[in-house]
Amino acid sequence: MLTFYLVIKLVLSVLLILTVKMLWKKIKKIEAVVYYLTIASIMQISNNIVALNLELITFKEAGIVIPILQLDRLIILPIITLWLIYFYRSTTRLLSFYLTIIWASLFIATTYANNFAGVLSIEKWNAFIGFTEMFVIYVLFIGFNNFFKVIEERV
Amino acid sequence: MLLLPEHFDANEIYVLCVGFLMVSVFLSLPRKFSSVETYLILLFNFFLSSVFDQILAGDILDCYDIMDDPKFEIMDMFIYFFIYPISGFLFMYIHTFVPRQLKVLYLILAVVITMGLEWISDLFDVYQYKRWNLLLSGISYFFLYALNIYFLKYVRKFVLRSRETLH
Repeated sequence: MLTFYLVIKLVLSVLLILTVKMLWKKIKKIEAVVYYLTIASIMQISNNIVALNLELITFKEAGIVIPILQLDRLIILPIITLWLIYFYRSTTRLLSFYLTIIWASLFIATTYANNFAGVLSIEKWNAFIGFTEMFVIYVLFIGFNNFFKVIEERV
Repeated sequence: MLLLPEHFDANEIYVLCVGFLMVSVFLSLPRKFSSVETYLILLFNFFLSSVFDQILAGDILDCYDIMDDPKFEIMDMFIYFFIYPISGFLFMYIHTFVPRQLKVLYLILAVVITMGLEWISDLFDVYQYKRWNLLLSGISYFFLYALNIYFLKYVRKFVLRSRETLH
């Protein structure tokens, strides 16, 4: 089951990596690097806070679990976030708001999918905690990126 | 939720002193990189430290603990924000002065110095090794510093391109 799940994640990751080229129409490469590094770092830390400190989620033993989780944290979710930024620059503000909710929902759906596949087991975590977590991630992400924008414009 | 240290003792004081010293050195250095490059070097090292430490010291592998608690505490965040990124920045800063033929030697020297600093940190109980040792850290530093060199090379290319698109 887990091997099959890893294959699905790998295929999804490759497909998402292939879509990155389309982002260059609206996002500069240097911006994409900053957005990627920021969201991947924040997600890594926040997911560990939820698992280690709050013990809301526990992980299965090492092995195949690590590549599955890291594909989520380092490829799938960061690239989806880059697409979110892309849509911010090409759609209306209202649609952007709905897309942000879909983006947060995708993260929550990923956690439930990982639970279903047996990668992790949900202890006291639920969708509302997931939305709160994504709200914190989103605020930090936007904050860091606005800071970068200020630096970039000053050059 | 970030936890506070269990006891405020030698390792916390050591980390705060090192952090203070590193920020002082960082701010007093003459400018060598543009603001965007500086931000990216710091962010890249923040990324490397958070990703690698979370994988290695996290719940699944649990190779080592940082500070008093196996859980994620505020001093861990302090290390991620100030110590690791500025270490990477200082490595890159000195790297720009090193002649091309001495780059590999400089990389090895930087790894040895960082291992020495980690050994001192270990004496202050900053790290608690479980399935990890100093040699493995040394090997990791070699690759992480090499990644930094390549990262700056690409960043400079992207910065140049983005400026060309602006004009």
